[in-house]
Amino acid sequence: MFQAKKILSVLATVAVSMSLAACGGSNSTGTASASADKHANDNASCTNKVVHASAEKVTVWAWYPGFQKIVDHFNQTHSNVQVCWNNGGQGGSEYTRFQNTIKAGKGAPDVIQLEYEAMPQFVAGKQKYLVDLADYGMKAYKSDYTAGAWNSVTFGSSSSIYAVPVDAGPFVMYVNQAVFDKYGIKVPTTWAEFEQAGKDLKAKGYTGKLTNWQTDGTAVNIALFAQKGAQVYKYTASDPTKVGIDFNQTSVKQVLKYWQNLAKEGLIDTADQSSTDTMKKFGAGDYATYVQASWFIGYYVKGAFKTATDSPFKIYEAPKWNDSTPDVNQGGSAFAVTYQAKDTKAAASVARELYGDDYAQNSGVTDGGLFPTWTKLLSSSEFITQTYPYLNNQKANEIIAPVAKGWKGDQFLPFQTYAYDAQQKAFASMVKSGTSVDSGVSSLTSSLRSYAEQQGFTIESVK
Amino acid sequence: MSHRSTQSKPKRRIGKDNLWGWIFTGPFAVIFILFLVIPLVYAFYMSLFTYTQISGTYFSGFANYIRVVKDSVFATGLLRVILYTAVMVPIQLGLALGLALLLDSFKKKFASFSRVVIFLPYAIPAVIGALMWGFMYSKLMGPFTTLFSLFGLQAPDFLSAGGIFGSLVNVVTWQWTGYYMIILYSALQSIPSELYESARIDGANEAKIALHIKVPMVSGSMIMCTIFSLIGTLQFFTEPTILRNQAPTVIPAEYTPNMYAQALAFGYNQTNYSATVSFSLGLIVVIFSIIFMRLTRRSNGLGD
Amino acid sequence: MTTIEHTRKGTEHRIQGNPRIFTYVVLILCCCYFLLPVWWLIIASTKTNSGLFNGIHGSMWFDSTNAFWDNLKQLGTYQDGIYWRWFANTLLYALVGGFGATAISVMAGYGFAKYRFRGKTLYFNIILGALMIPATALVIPTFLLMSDINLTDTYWAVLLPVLLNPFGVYLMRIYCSQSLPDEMLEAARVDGSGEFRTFFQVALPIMTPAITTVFLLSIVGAWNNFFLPSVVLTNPNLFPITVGLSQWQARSTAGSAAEQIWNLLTSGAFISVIPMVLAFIFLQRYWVGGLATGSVKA
Repeated sequence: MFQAKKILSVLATVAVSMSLAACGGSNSTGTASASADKHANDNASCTNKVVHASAEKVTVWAWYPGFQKIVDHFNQTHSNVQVCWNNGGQGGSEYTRFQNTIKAGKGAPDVIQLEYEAMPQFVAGKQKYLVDLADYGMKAYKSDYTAGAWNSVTFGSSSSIYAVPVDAGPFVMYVNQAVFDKYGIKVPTTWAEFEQAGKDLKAKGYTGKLTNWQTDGTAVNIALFAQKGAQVYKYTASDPTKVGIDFNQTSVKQVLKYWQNLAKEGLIDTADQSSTDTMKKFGAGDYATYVQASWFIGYYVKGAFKTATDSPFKIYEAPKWNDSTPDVNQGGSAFAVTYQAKDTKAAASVARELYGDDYAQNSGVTDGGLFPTWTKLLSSSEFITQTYPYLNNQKANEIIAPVAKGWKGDQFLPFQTYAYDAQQKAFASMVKSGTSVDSGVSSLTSSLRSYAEQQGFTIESVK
Repeated sequence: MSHRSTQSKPKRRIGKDNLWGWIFTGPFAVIFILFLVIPLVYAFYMSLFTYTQISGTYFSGFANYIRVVKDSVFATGLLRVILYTAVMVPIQLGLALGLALLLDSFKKKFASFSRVVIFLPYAIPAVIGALMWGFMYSKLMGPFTTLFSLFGLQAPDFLSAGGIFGSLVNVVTWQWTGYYMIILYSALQSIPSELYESARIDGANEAKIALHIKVPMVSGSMIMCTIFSLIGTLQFFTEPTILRNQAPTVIPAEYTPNMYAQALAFGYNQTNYSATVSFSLGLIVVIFSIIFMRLTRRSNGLGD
Repeated sequence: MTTIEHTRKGTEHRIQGNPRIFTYVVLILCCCYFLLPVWWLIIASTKTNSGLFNGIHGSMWFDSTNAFWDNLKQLGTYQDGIYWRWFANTLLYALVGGFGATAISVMAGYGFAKYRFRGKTLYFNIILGALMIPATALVIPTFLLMSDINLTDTYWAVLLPVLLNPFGVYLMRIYCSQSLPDEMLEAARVDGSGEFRTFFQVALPIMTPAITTVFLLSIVGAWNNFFLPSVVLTNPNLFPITVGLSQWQARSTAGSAAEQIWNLLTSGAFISVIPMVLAFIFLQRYWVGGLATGSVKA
């Protein structure tokens, strides 16, 4: 009995401290508050070696390839503040960690890498877990970044800025030039031509597939819808209790029916993007094209071929529906400052300056395979004329950079992980179990809406 | 059990026994309370609250439990693991028992080599085991396309909606059969051989001896293994989670109740409801195990 | 099975004739099955990243070039050779955690078997019940409680929960009741030996086989530990191998800013299983000896 009492008293203490922590948020004005403790991170452990040991440290979580160089460069060029970097995990696992530190009320880094699509979940609802960088002079730098990237970190708001853009994924088409040359087929520029190219290739004896439509693809399908002018998700910072969700639109259905039809005709593959088979087929020349973001060069193209000369791929503009088809984007990330930042001002400057000079931007491109959002680099002639060995020494940026500049930005939900999981299931059943597009999109829409309502959001129109 | 032997002790020892019993079991009690009881009570406490992004955390009583009962995602996952249990447990234990009997009566060098080989997968972390099978299931990179074509057959599509059930059963069978086999083999080894001798003299053959003497003698171990296997399968988690990386549209995030709890907590930020799901699953596992132990009460030795 | 000799005298009995061939065939097939993934891992660890996808001899045979030593070199340099740090961490978690868990289980098992104390039956039944609780149910609360006392991102966050091994207690209790006669302990006590001295000098030597088994079981448990460390650790310098490799797998899976290090993943996985596999091969007699205790009717 004595034991039981003791346990309960411990528990009660824990419970009280937890509920106090939960209430703490509601007392604030809804935005993350500033703090300025310059020594809170003195004993933080870092993956990198700090250059100026006595300087103030700012902790950073990031998973960019080649980030070590960026950190070292920053620390060598700054004597009053030093970056203490850890890899908090890639994408989803990092967000989970961040989410856990929010629940615990401590342990979050000062600066965190977040994909654009992951940001709304940290600024929605009761408390915002990212700092509004407008309070730290970020507005002055608007023209440094592409419009799409800027809109993605401001969520359509003109007054708040929740992160500093780093990279993006302009949507383009990878073309297996060897296949097109062998069968004497013109590279398609419209989706109608794209379908025809598939039929022609098949008729002429090409045993591979025109492309792979990834039902497990997440942002890639959002990009395909956006091309048709369809916005399926809506969330703006100025109205944080409302979300828009609508797959039940004519344009979305047209896109899905287009792909469902290609699959039925046997022109395309519908393998999961993440399966290693997809990679193998890519390298074996089993795909004539791949419509995907620009970061695909760094990942697939390099991975699938032993040497650069083995790769038959070149980049073309993504096929269009008509002349007014917009430039779209798939993926990309930014640096945000968390509400747990020990010295908010220093963290804000670190977030902006990590990729804030020529050296870092160039290293991001060459060592990290990132596609920049920095307008200065995008318009530099060196960047535009840069050749890519894995793309037959093509000056690919001539094609990609205009897409990056033309992109207007996307909106995502505060519960995007859930939405993506639902999306995957719906699209997979359209090609694998023969669910009709019409019923698929309407049940997807209604199930996501009811989830949103259950989470306390009000549904608004996506228009 | 031990009670019977201690009953003969003199009375004066009882007070001392009380003290020393707690001294010896005390360190375990501390760890047990710190890392099991307190987290468990805390999980239950959490399950009584609800969190939404808009309104934050509030007390909601048993509302989450009502939601679980009505939750078709949870029900589907539960049915799925029950199906896995019905298939996987008999396969693993049948194979383990068969191999144990074989190795017990086949005393060659090759037998002890086989014993190590069959037990070996247990030494490989489940994460790495599932990772390896995931690679091997790949149609183009794995060995099965070639292997099946040797017999003029087409390899099954392991990572398709139709094939995934068998693929997962295979990974688990590979990983755990050896462990159960070793437990049963150890039990067989500890049976005094005089027991067989009289049967042999009476003219019983090896198959009869196995069936009528050996199997009944290890029934206690069989039941223990069954309970472990039952508990493990109802909590199915690691293998489908790792294979999901290869085939996300075939294995959804909420494939098993445990995966559902994980997705809720870490993907969808619904810690409180996740705690409810875990708690409900735990309860169901306990009920299943108790039913099983009741059914086999006479021979399991766990009833105390 | 028709030609079995059953009149042979002595304790050895043998299967002969056709059934013997049958047994060989069954065992050889089993060995092939259980070794198949291991063989795959050995082969995969000798390939480069593109060799894994485009190796000329398929997935079950060596590629034209052997990249094993290159992979090993890369493991030593990639992210400043963090792989070996993970390796050392795993050893630490497995050995220290395994030792602690064993010590606690052995004491508790002995206490349960040899003392009558108040609340014992209930206590032991609760331990048996604990075997049934899904780990996921405990991970989040454990994480939250640990961060409350600043324990996350420390070695303790992994080491302390590993100390809990209810199955070990169960095994030790049964072993003690079966193999440790009360009379022996009584005799020691009559000779004036204290409780601790009796435990260390009389009981422990007899319990050695079971202790070894529980130690091995605890080490395997700690070596395979994945879920809890992946939640309570953020600092990669503290990761065990399982968590580190799964992070590398995520890194290799398609996505923006990913890079393919499948070759490091396969060679890293291969090296990480070597110590355990060796331990199994050389210590197998302890397995057979110790597990027999838990499995016979108590």
